[in-house]
Amino acid sequence: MSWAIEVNNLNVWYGDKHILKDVTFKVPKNIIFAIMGPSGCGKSTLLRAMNRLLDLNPYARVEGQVKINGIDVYSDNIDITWVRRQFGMVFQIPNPFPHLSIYENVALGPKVNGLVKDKSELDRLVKRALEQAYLWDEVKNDLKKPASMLSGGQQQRLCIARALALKPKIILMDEPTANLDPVASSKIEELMLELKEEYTIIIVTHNPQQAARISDYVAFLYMGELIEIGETSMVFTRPKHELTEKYVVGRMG
Amino acid sequence: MSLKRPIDYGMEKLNGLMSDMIILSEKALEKSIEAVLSRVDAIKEVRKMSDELLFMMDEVSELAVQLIARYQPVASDLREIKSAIQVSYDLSRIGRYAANISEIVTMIPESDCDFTQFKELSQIVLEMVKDIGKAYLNKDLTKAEEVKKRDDKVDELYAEYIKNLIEMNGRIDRACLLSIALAIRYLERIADHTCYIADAVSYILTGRKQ
Repeated sequence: MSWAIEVNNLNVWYGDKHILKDVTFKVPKNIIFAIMGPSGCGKSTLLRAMNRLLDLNPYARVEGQVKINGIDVYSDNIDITWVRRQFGMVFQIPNPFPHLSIYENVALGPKVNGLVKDKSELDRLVKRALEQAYLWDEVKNDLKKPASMLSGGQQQRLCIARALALKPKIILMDEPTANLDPVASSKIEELMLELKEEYTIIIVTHNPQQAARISDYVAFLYMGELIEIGETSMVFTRPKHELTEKYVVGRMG
Repeated sequence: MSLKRPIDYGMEKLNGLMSDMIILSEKALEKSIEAVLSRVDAIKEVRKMSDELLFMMDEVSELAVQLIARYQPVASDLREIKSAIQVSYDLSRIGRYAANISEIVTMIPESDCDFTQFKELSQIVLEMVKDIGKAYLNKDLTKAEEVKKRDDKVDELYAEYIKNLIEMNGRIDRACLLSIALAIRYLERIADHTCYIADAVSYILTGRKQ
């Protein structure tokens, strides 16, 4: 079996603080993989360690392996741009470029990275990304308007379209619905279920019910340790570890 | 001490209902056995308990559906709610069989009809019902497994008694023979339901049937 991503003995420190402790797991392709756990358990750090976003934190130190297609993103002489291009990332607070138009938000990445030859190819790519993010019908007549005119849910889908335009292999989502109302949240969840046909999605959530609804596999992280990992249907009906049980039924802390 | 979760208030209510059903099913069985052994008509009384158990079973499933809809329970909560639905059915069946046992009184002929074998079996089965009720309420896996083991003895005795009855055919009154056969058959079925409850206890605690 080929894996979308393999994490081996990953350790992360912020200064003296040991944030992730010997985390090891594999993610199959074309699934939704949820990482859940209480605040401060290290789940966002884990996500940022995968695409080397942690490099931006001068206090962070990483040991271990994160492999995509068998290539360790922490190996020497790796092209960091290549690493980042394997991933699309969506954050908790929708962060489109507010003054750029809806069109430009999606077009900027492919333009800067030279993914397209001409304007018509770019138009097609933007349209396709917006369609994939189920936003096209809502914005097709307002492509020149600023992204800031969109609702929170639409902005988040615009961020997803922006990520998709760069044709990543894996989409990382860090609490993508935490700032959205229930209707906008379910749209994002429906969208994720569609997108897993083409991409592997890794989502961090502090809402176990969300993990239960949308993920195929789920990992439970607690105080930097990977406590349990398994098929979502198993973890939510008969968790193996007592801590997982406590967390999913809401008896933790 | 930690705060109660919202679902805990509903789970307590569910356990209260289950406890009431357990007490009532024991009472119904005890009453029906007593009625047969002393040839007293308790049909109305036991049927009333059986009807009450049916009504409570509906209450349990209604509450279970509400808990699922409102709290989306998972893991042990979910296993307990699912089991409550099943166990409430088992308890209502025990009540129904108790009513059937009480109805046998009207079939027993005036003449000599020896219910010694029924008496023996009824003592074992009544204890099983009482013990499985405790095991369910206390979530006691050891006790539940132990009750389940006793079912082998019940099956063994049942087979032996039926064989005896067949051999005695023609030598005892037909109504007597039939009433004993039915009565021990109902007891044997009740014992089976205590095993299903034992499985539920195991499922709640371990996620697996025994």
